[in-house]
Amino acid sequence: MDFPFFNGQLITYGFFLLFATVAIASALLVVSVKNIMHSALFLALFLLSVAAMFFIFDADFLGIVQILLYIGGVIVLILFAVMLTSRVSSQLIQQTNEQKFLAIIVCIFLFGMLSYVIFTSGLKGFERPLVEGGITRNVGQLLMTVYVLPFEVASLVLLAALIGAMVIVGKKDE
Amino acid sequence: MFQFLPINISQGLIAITPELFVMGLAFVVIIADLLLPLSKKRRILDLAAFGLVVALILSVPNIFQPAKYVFNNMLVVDPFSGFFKLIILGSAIFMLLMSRDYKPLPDNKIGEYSALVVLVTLGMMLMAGASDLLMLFLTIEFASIIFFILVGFLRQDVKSGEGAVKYFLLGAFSSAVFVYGASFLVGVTGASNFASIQQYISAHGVTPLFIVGLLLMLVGFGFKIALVPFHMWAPDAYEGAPTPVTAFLSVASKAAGVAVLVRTFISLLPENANVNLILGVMAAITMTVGNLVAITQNNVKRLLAYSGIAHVGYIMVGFIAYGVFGIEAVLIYTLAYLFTNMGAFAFAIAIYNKTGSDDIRDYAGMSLVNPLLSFVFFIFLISLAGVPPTAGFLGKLLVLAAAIDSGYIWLAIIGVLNSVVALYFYARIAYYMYFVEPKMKEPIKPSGALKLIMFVSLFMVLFICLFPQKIIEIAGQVSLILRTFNGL
Repeated sequence: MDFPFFNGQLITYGFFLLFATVAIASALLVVSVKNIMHSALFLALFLLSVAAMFFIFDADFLGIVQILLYIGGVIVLILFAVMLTSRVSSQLIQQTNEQKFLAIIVCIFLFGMLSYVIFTSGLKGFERPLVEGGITRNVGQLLMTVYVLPFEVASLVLLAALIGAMVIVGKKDE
Repeated sequence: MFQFLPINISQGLIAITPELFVMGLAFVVIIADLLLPLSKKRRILDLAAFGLVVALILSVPNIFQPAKYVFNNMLVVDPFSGFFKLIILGSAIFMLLMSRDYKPLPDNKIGEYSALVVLVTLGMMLMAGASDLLMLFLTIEFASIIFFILVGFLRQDVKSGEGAVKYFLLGAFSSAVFVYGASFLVGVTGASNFASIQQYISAHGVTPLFIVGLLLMLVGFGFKIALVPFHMWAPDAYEGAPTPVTAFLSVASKAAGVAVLVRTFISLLPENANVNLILGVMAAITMTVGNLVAITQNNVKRLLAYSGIAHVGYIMVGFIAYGVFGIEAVLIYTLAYLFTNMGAFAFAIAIYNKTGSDDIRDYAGMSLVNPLLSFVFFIFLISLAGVPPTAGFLGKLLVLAAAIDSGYIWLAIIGVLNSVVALYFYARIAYYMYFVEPKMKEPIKPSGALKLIMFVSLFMVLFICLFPQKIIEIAGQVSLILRTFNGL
């Protein structure tokens, strides 16, 4: 069988298969384990393996952002929220209800539809290398030239959000 | 200046001097909050207001400059954005002056409050000039996020929280639809800035997908300016917010929303793709719903919220008329709305400080104890209703004339019928003031700042109507440059 992905680079392809398997397995575990804490940790594993796939595909910037934002930010936030609500974290919760067979059918249809789109889209797979010197360098250059104004405005938005968070959750008015 | 920077960036920085100044002011306000003791915190409002006056003066030359893109087509500096910057800055100054005497604002939060107001002013100024889909989205979010916080600023007040949550949820949803629409535009044209999209359109024409994207973006704009059916947040947010924020939200936020709406449609929609019927029906529904629901309101803030919705309908009528004349009408209507609404809200705050109530039935017999103030408020009311000799009349006249001029007779008729309805509920407030037994015994003594707002607004409301030549001339020039710059 001919795999167009890596021009015969078997080791890279092996790594891709490894991370893809881990990703699918952990994604399934996220929605099936009964302890919500374990669920959150499996979500972290899933996101890490997706980040690894970004690195394999030379999207190093996306990979770093994935780790920084999702694992460093979102997962930590979820874990904190779970730990602070002790009632939820101590219990084993059934994640499915009586609609689960219907949901499985819908998911299979969705999977089939997306697969159809991907296989008929004429995508040739992965061609490397995309850019000299990696994507991160180019993203940085664009941020400092073409997109310098939105970049700076975004920093002001964050400043405003910071002040706003202080106003909303800060200590009660004395 | 700025020799160490690349030439296009240093030119851009010089072109956006007013925005840079406002940004610096925000930092000064944050630092002042750290340094000043609690008893002097209210001075920060004065500092911010003074800074914005300087920014206003810096923005005036924008009206007379030729249009140009800066920062790789991210932003356009032209008379049109300059005009809206003046309206936004003017309402921010009025709003800060009103806040000085608004009692429910806690002293220890004044620093954060002022910083947020200055930052949201900056966001809306950038919004008025945004000429790239990315920049448009970023600045709309910039302004929206801060307004969510400002609406919910009174944490002890349940209504303030309710308004903020509704505003936030609907805002988040409409932003999502907006970005979805914008992604269609990028997908079709392969570009995100207006100049490149224009080039694509003139070369390839428009596809239906492009129009669909633009209409989805209209949801985002419609939310900002409270266009029916995206207006559901407005009454609750207006009622719950601190009154100065309500005034600011109703004028500046709408003005900025109108600015981006007009610019986006003028820049991106070639005249052959006719979506005017959709916009026209929306304008008609907006006017009618706003006015009919306002009839039953007893809370003055809710009433002004619904009347504000109706006013947006009129502004849309002017916009639908397209042409130089239509945009000119939009500009003058917005200017008239600024002074009229600010004056009316200043009066509402003066009453609230005295009686602690926003109910118009508590305005009973005001004319006996406060004859002068009542008369001033009466002028604002008839300006809102569009009766001569006030600015509101001139605005309505131009809008309706523009509609007739471009053949939208049915819209003009609906507009006129709505004016009659509007006259009823504005007159109802006047009726309480003049013909009902007084409830209050001693006269209201508004502070100097509130008096200043009222009398400046009064002067402008009368001046715009009685000596309109110069203003109409400027507005005509502004809309002409906007059209020629976009190749119409």
